[in-house]
Amino acid sequence: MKNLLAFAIGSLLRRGGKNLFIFFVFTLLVFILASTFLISNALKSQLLSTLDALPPITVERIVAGRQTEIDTSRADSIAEIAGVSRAFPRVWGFYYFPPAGVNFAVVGVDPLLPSYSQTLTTVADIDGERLASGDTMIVGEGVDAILRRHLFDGYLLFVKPDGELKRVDVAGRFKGETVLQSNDLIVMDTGLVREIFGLPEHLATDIVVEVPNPQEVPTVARKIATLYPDSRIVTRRDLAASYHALFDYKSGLFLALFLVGIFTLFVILYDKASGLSGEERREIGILKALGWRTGEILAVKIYESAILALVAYLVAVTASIGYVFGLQAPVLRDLFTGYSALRPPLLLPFEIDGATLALIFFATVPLFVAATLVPAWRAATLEADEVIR
Amino acid sequence: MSRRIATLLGIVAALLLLLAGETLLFDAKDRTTDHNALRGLVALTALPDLSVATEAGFIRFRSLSDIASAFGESPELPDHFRASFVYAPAPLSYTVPSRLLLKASPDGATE
Repeated sequence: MKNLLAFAIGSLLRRGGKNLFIFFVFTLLVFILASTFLISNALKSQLLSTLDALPPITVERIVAGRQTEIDTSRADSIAEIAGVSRAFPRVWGFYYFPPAGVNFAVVGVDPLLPSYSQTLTTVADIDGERLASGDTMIVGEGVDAILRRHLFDGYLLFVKPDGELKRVDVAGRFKGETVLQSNDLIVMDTGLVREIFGLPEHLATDIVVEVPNPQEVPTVARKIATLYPDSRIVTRRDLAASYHALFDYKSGLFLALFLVGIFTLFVILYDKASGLSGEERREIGILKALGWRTGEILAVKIYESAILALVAYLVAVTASIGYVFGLQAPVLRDLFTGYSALRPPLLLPFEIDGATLALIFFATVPLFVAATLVPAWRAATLEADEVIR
Repeated sequence: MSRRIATLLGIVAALLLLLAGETLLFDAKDRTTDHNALRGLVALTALPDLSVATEAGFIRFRSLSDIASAFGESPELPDHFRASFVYAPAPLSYTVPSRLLLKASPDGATE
């Protein structure tokens, strides 16, 4: 076996140019596939890790198929449903910042809530004095950078619906670890958000419902739907389903990427399967004439393609891990980050899905080995004189 | 063992070592990240989704968006952002109320 393996390596080196090309294409294909999967898995794991911090039920109001403001008094009726510990209206929305052409997500929080003061210091670097000084906000890194670039250093003048300006000072920045979710966020007092959006006191964007017992969530959701048939109820399970369906591999750019990858693989396999070159056939003939058995010739061919595919796979996976988590996936990350000027650095959590890497392995390496086997077997079963002639 | 086999095994071993090394390095780097900050942020805002694509509301908060959001730009141009080729619409955007609840059991006995 050792000798056969040594012969296979020698044979690979003899046809260095062709094998190098196949090695390069194979590596590139696995690299692109692995990198794309690594990025999407990391983003997905980032989302799923925060899933249980989200509210069990969010109630929206739908009018004519479109989400609209919900009456805050509904929160009181919902809070009376058995099993609900708390229901509170929430105000949030988008503020378009014309100089940069970007949307900020403006979220109102109630500073009187105990959860507010507790979590605020863990998620953001706060200037305490400034926070207490009046109209202030806490912004994400991206918002802060955009404001500085447009000479709003430490404040922003919001344009209210009636055209008046409202100055709000920056009292803190969200920590870098949260950038994937806080980059475009502006968090401020709910009253201030109402003033900026011109939203009256009796209306809210949606209602968040807290249900301590997860078993009761479906019943509560159904009761809310009966109570207010125009509401759309988004449970945590819906959010989980949404997160899992985050990237639609069946469409768009992913399909384009996979098509390129699969097409490249097809070209390699076609090249291999379309038959051996005259030189290779002659080599097999000579080996048979020297007394090699069919099984030994086949073993050499299997070794050849297995060495090529295995080394290519290892190189590709090693490179893709370094590319995604070390270099933060330049070029490929643009697929995931959209084209708005407000883009976060893709600080991905380190997450390797062994199953996905195994899937890529089994979809490429054995296929490649198998494709080289058939033509080799055909040539190896011929008589020596027939092949050489 | 022939020199060729030794070289091949050496290359494979070096690659495996490199792979293990970078895995350990990135894992150690990841452990220093404060994951509680992210959970705290989500608890504070109670809002889902990532801020990686922010060009429209239905992409930024896709899990909470409704079917009409994508048509907001123009009725004949439902979806023209590059990111929306990558990010599938939220499965729940076509349902009133929660599709999963209705699918689980028509009588609502269990989730």
